[in-house]
Amino acid sequence: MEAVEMGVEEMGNARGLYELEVEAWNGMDAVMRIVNIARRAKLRYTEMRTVFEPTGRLRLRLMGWGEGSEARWLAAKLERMPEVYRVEARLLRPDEDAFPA
Amino acid sequence: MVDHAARVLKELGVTEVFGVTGGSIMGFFDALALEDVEIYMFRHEQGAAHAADAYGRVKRRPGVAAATSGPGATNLVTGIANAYFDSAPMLAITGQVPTSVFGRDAFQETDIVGVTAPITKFNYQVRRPEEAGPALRTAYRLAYEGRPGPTLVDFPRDVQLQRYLCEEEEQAYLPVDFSKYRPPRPDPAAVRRAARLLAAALRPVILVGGGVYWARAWPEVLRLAELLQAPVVTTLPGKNSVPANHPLVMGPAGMHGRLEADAALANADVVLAVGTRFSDRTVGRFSPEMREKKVIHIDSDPSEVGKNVPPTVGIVADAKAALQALLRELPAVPRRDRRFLEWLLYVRRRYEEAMENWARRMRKFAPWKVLKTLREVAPPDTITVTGVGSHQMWAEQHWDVYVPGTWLTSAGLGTMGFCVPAALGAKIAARDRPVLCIDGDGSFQMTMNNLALVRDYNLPITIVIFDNRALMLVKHWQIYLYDRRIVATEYTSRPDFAKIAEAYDIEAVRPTSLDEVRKWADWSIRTQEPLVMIIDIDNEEDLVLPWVKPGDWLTEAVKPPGLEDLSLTYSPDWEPPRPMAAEASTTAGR
Repeated sequence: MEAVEMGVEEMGNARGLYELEVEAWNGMDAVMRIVNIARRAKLRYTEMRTVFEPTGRLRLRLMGWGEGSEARWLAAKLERMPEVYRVEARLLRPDEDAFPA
Repeated sequence: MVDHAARVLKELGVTEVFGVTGGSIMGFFDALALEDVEIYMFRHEQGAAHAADAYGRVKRRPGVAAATSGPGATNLVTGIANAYFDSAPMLAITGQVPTSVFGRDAFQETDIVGVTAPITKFNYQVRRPEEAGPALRTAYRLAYEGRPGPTLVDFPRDVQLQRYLCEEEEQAYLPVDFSKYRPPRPDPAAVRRAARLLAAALRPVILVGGGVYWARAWPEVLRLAELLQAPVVTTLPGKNSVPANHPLVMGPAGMHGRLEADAALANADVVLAVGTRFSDRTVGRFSPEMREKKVIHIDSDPSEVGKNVPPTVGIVADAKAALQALLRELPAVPRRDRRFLEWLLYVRRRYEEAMENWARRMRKFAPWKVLKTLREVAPPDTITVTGVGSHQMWAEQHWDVYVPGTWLTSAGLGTMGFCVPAALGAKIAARDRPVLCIDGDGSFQMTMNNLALVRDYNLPITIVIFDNRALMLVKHWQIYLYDRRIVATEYTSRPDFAKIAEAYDIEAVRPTSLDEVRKWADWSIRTQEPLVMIIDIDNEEDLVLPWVKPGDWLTEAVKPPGLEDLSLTYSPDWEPPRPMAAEASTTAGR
């Protein structure tokens, strides 16, 4: 897959496949809280993967189809979480025909 | 560990805790008592949570509610959600079953961290005694840092009872980056763009939300309004943010807003929105009308900017700092044509006259006349709390808030039952000030058991029940939207609220005139005696108008009787009627 790698500020409202990478702490409780927010975004998810590191940090990767405004909303909401250190959102594949959740 | 936890709370300045004890939290309550923290025994945990929420709004620091595991914790949930949706600082502390039986469906086990995840700013389960101090400090600080909100700390019983001496210096906080809750400085380029838009606007309007109260930014809002000669409209929680008696404050807009406020917002070409999330209750609908306006959105929470209405200019910053920056960019604005303001005042005058005429035709009390009578009696700094229902909407339209910070209502969640316990929490936070609870009979019945605290802790609040024996706002919708099919919204005459009050040793009265309303309210406030005043309202007549139907635009509001000819769409060709023109441009408040 050829990634466009567009940052959350530049991606506008393009429809397509988005990837969000989240770095956080507090183990499964943090994952639960992240998922709680993610399920309210209008994205059609295709993949979620979490790696729990020995340092206590976790890295969670979410991919889903939808509009840029939804990906941006989700990234902003996740960034506000006290458990979250870092959120990166990018448009991987623009596709105007893609439909969200 | 609980001894240490209680000491940490004491060090944080916590002097009162609201709650209900139980098997999984009694050790913590015991430790609180040993630290001389006053425990207020609510009769239901929901009441404790509402009290903590209200206490937090008045004190501007978190109120603390504590409950046992299982049903104790789940009973807190409505109160926590209420604080979340109204961005109020509160800390909930829950007991939990021992870690050894987690997931085994032990007696009174509920995963309260899971349950409250979507309605807390932060929550944390303490698994080791040394985490208790950092968890409490973190949760307490997060409750007020940046945009306020509720937090929760869950204490498993075995962890509570472990011996923990804290001999070494413990880490102060969990690994949270608090700096991200400090709003950035306003972006100068965005401020310049906003200033240009405002300077060029024909009909700028300032929309004020609850964030203005938290940022203490009402002086800047009013200075900007005066500079621009721009009307100020508010959201329902935004009533708490600006004094209603300022001549440019039009009052709340929205589903049950005031006509002149709906008219102002609907006809604005540029909207400066400050500290608001653009609720659908405020703007009626988002498109096409709202999206056709130029919107400048100032909010400290970046996730709010653009969430519901895409702004022309978004400024993520503290409201006070952003408004000060705007004021510096707007040294001189050409004096605008005052016709728009005159038209809004004309709308206001017609609206007030129509309400007076309507009141004369009412068989029983006109709710808004009762509110205006109470307002005459209550000192300006009276803290006014409402329940949820038609009485709340009447109060939204007709209760004038003179001092920012004196209006407490359940706006976002719309929680019936908020009034009595929230009024108790407000009174605990401000014992030297009168507290007026404006409730409805349906809302009152949901948490009236907490009246027990009035005498237990000497909390003399004045409760006014707008008694229409109906779930009137729903009945209102049934009348308009369900072909008058009245289903499950009308109550019988039971219970007798006077006897309920008597059971709690509180004076109760049923006034028969506005003079009696005035006399009893004055007696209660002046003598600091608690009172339950029951106002007889006719549930066929109690239709809160104006009303913007769900999905309609603000100009399509259903207006009170006698205003059928009044259009809420402004025309630049509008001419004031002759008698009004003769009075020049009076801008006296309501």
